[in-house]
Amino acid sequence: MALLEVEHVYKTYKDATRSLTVLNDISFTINKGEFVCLVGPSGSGKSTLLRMIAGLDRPTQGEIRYRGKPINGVTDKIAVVFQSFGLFPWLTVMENVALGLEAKGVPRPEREKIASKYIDKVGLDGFEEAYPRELSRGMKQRVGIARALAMDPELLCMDEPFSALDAFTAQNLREEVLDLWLDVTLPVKSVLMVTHGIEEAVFMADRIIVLSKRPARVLADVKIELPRPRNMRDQAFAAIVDKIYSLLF
Amino acid sequence: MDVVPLPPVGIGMVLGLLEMLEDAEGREDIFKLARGLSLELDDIEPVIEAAVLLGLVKTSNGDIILTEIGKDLLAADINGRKAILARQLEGLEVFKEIFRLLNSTGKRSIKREKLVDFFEQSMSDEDAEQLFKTIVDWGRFAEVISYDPQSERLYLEQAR
Repeated sequence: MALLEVEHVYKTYKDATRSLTVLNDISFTINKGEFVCLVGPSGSGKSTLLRMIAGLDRPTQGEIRYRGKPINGVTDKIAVVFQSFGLFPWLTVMENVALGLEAKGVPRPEREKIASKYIDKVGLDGFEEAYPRELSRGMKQRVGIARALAMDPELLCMDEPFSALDAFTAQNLREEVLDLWLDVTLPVKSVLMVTHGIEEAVFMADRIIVLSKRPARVLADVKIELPRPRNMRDQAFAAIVDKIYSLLF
Repeated sequence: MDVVPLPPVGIGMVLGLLEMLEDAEGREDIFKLARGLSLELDDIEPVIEAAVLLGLVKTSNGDIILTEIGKDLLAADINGRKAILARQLEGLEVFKEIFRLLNSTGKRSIKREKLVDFFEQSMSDEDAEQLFKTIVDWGRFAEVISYDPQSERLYLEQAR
């Protein structure tokens, strides 16, 4: 059984006089063990689709299923990392990471133990009592990642997680996210990452789903069979990036 | 002795630079690196300067080259990287001064204000504040110091 099934999904926004279809019959699946990137032009509804998968929004038509069951709201099997980090400025790193666990009713000693484990995994040991205002953007995103992992998700959804970072920090975090995904001690089975960076998608993904511009449809579902670790300077890498661009232009 | 400012960049940027150099097989023209990232000199220079200061790269004739320490860091896991960075920070004059100050208090800690005042003896107020932020960023990541924002105290993590 596929972990996630997106089946004939449409999303249309309507007001009194107009309607705008953003997603136009989107179907794909994500299997256990896959790192999938969703790419497409700005405004193609990638983030909207991700929010629906995470249970934060609903399709106008169609269905999204997780392990065969329709998604009707947030589930603790799916966690999200946001482009703008989404940290609460009045909470410390520890409190931000443990917040979801607190909402689940996990007792404080246990939730701090779990949060500490993931704070360590993302390299922020020593920052537990820091507030977001003290952190660089890269460190804020590490907190976002730790917070998502602390919920023990099976599917990690990432919405343009590196777009708000400088080029160097983004490259550093890309490598570390791949290391985390390959860490067999973590429960994360699959990743769905939205990005507008084709090179980034080819660097990270096992499969790339290419959306057209709005109203978006699936142009292609491309398997990336490059061995890991990948090098953006390799000719084979460049050939695949070129192939994805040629699907869009 | 006079303390000089550190390049005002986060440690994550230095790690990212090293990752990029690894892809380039350890050596690259700096102009190509800048061009590829659409960066100006002001953006790239402090990151390179920080990496040189930490002994992770060297520069020569417009090229940037990974050192053996830089290669070791890239091969290490996150905790191994922290250990290597800790060792490199301990070799920097500004960190040696900080450790001396922290040890001299007997409590192995110092108020932010006192440390910034100390830096202001050698540089502008703005540079002193920025230096404090950079020290906390690098030192905390390498786990050589910790910082309590409530009390605004900097602490030595272990005997140094």
